[in-house]
Amino acid sequence: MVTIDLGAAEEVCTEPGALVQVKRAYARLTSGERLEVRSPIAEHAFAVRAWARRSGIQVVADDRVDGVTSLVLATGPEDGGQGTPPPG
Amino acid sequence: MAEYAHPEVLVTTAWTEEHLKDPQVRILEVDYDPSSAYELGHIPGAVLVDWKQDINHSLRRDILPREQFERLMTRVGATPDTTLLLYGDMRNWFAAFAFWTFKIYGHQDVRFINGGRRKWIEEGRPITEEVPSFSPTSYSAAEANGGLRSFLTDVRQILGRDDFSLVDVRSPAEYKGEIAAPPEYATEGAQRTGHIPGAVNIPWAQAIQDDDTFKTMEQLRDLYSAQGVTSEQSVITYCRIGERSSHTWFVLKFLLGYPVVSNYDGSWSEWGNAVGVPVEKELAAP
Repeated sequence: MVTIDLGAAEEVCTEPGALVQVKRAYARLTSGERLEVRSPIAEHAFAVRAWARRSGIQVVADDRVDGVTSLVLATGPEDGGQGTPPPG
Repeated sequence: MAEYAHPEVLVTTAWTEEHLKDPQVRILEVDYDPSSAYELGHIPGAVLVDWKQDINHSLRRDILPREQFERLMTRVGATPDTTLLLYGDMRNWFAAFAFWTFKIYGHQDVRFINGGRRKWIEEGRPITEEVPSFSPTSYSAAEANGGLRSFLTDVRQILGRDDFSLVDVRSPAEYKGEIAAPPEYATEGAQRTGHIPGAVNIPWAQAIQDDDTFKTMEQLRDLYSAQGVTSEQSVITYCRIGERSSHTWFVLKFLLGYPVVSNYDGSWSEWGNAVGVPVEKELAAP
């Protein structure tokens, strides 16, 4: 599983915005791989959930522990996901 | 706790929720990337203002012209008496840029939702994907207030003057000249790195707390005065394209009440590409 930590750095003008980072990481996955997105910021989790729903991506885990939300996104059908990752 | 110089320009998320259906109020979400923000969900009744399309000139590098501002206000159903509440993506930078341009064109009652999207979502307040529509209005704007904006020539003229203060609100890495702009912002690059001579580096984010609300009056006063930026000087803020610096412009002008503050929106993407202008940079040890 690939993990991306959105709480690690937030100088978004020197790096892509949070959801853009997630979209790029997801697009690099191979079928069957999963992406874990971690962030202490509710706005990030909201955006990832909403984007996943609109894109037909299955969120197979959604937990909040010690103030950090962990979302796990599936890819291919064999992983419980909906198919090919959408672009960007 | 001391009150901000102009507390009327800030509203809380709770006040906003109480006024979602107030016809006197229009809520505007100003986004750089609507597909990562507004389109996924927004405050009920909020109208999308797309920073690239709506707040910029469609051809040249410039803020929106007066006629475009009037069309925007007409589209969102605002009159000159409407209370405009702004918030947006990227921690409210582009909402701050919109605030600055709306003030340039003389809209009287513009306010910030303190904390914006981050605080609204954190508090579990209502979110919708429904796009509202309002009856168009007729809006006549004022002539542009040039005192709120600085150009490259203005900045060149005040270099070395101690009655002016230049505030570079970029990250320390940008200020030191370690980076210009990342590949993600392809139109914001520069031929040279570093900063404008004499500028002090006070990154924009030092003015806010983790939930994106502004720090207290005392904290803000200490932050800027510690770097020699005081109300006795005229202050010019800049960043890379003028959006982070409009956030700091807002803090200095409206929260601290500094009398003369302008935003140099040409910023580093202009200065760092201009021929013959002086640049200051910390050189690495040999």
